[in-house]
Amino acid sequence: MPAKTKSSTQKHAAVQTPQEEVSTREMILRRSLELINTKGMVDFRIDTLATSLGLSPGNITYHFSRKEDICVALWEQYLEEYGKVVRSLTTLLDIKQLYLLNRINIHLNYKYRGVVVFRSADLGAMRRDLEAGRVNEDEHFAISRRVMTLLGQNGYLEKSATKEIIEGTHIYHYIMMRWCINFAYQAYTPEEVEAKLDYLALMSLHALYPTLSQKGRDEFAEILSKVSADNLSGDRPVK
Amino acid sequence: MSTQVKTQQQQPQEADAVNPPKRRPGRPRKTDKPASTEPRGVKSEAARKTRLAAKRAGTSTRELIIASANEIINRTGVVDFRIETLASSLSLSPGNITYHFPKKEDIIAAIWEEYLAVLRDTTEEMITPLLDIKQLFLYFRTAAAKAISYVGVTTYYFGDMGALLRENEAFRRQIERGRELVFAGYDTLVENGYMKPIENPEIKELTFDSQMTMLRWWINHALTKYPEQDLPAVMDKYIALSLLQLVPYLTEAGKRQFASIVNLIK
Repeated sequence: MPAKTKSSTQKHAAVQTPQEEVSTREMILRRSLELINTKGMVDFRIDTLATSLGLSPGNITYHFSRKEDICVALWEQYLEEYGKVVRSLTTLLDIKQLYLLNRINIHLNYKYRGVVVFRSADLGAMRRDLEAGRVNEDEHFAISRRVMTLLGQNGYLEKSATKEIIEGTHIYHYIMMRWCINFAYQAYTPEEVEAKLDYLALMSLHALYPTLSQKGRDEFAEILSKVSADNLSGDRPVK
Repeated sequence: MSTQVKTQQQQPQEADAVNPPKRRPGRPRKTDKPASTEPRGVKSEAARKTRLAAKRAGTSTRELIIASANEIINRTGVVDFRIETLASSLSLSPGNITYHFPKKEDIIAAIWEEYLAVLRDTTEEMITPLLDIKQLFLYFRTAAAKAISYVGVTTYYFGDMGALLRENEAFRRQIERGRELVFAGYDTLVENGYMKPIENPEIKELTFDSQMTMLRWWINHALTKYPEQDLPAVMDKYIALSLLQLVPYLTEAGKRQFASIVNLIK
């Protein structure tokens, strides 16, 4: 029996990636993401995962003792990729650049959708995350605040906007970047969501609209017209 | 020896039913003892009184189950919710519960239906021709307070891909209905002189979508920062945020009303 499991594992790995060695851990994560993206976190089961990979459940729990640990590992993968995106923030920031950052971010959210939509969807899981010290969003929240500073410096924010309004807009922008994918799964059919990603990037950018200066609104209007005319080239999502 | 250890372990569990003993984070196993250590069949006085009071008030067992389940889920979330825990908190047998609801998913669905009905009843008629910015705040706030009363179930329905996909059609209808109501609200605010019309239909749609996203998912963001008991305290801040989207269109009268709301953002 163990020999059989092993051979089917090797077969599976060989089919998936002919050249590169994929570790079992990596394989588990990839398949889990596929399953979570289609069925959600609550219905995701280690047994189903094991069967679909031709592994024994024990093989999985050797790497991840609970399904939540898989979710956390995927969430951390997502945050790492997201971190790479926001690191390309420079002092040259303008509205178009910010749109591009938001666009990369929403495509990333789409790739990890099952995990991203589930963020703080279960009180028990949330509490355990807190107990395990898995609070790692502060850095990104701080970066979202830096976006406001840079836009202000470069003349994209209305001079009359008060501190409260700027702080509020930053929180708004952050929430839109994180949860507009959830909105999409309620507002559109599941099949439509992929084609809506450019619009969703615009939606998170729109959170800033109340504080934009005329110069900022002009750039926003230009992006809006191109997105609604479906005129952005290469608009297929990153896989 | 082993019995001694067992009693020692059980005691803190009994004393600390609300805060279970510390252990490695993870979903509790099905074999974990329910909060009550009383043998099954011996009904606690408190639970019996609750049920008697409910009976006198004309509350059916079904309603009682839904209410208690909601209370438990608001503390534990849907993943850790167990029929056995619910049964022991009501001093009913698990079979009593499964007679009404065969699976825990059925209880969760019933709570969700109740939330939707309560939300409809409390908010449907709130947008009147008298609408101003403060009333709009109150309207959004009433809806948010209802979501807090059902926080365990709503965060699940708003955040699990399985639930989102299963309920997609119902959600699309809700958002459609929300758009009708909020667009009518914008029109009334314009008529009453608090707002200029949003001329560009695409920007009008974006404004609605942004407000909707904040009003539906503020709880999820709040839960990454605060424990769930603090939700009522931080709610006003997020509702005020949702109104930020209207700032570009407010008239002088609208801005005066918004000035007192903006203080809530701090």
